[in-house]
Amino acid sequence: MHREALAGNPNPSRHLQALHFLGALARINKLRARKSPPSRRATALGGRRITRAAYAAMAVAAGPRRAWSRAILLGLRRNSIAKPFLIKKRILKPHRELRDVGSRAEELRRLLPGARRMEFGSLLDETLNYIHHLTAQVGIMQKIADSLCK
Amino acid sequence: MSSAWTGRARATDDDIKELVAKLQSLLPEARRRSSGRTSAAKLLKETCSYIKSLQREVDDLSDRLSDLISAMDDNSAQAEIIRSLLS
Repeated sequence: MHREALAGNPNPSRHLQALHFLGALARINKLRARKSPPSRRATALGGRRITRAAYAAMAVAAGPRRAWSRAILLGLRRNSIAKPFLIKKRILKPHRELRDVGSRAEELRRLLPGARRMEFGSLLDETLNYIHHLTAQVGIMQKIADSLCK
Repeated sequence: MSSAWTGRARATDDDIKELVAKLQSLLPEARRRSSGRTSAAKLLKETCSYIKSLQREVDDLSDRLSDLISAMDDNSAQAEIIRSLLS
């Protein structure tokens, strides 16, 4: 879980994540450039392509040892847009009475890619790592958006 | 964390306590309960809503980046993207 820290350098995976994402972004930009004036549909699809690139970058940086990153990489390889986090849909709220740890853990299992039948301890471990890469990705994208705004 | 962890051995109570503590410290200040005795269920609830908000942020930023990129002409977009790499 803290392999990077053990290696004495917490940064490698974050750099890898940023580089991978930037590369994907440059490719998406090239694809966009080839088409004639962008339609509204094209820009909506562009957003989805960028979302896919974001999760791909996270998964590559996390490596194949995580169930969530494997699930993402497999989903992308099948060229299917993984449903839980790439298609905007209303997430049904759990029934008010079911607020115990069990049902919360189930909710977490639905949120985390590849976690459907995961045992509780692994679930927490995966969650920590997933949040780590998610926050990194948000930071990367904010920086890029800021620099594109200048 | 014990090395048995990578063999997917079942987590001990101590392992879980450690993970719960780490999770609690990972949540942003506003979501953390000030009392030390947060129930596990509340912590998981905060974790779920934190993950959902992060995923929404990725979505929104993707749309924003898509708009920003399509608003620029090809050459300057490529240059800016590469410039971000160097900064």
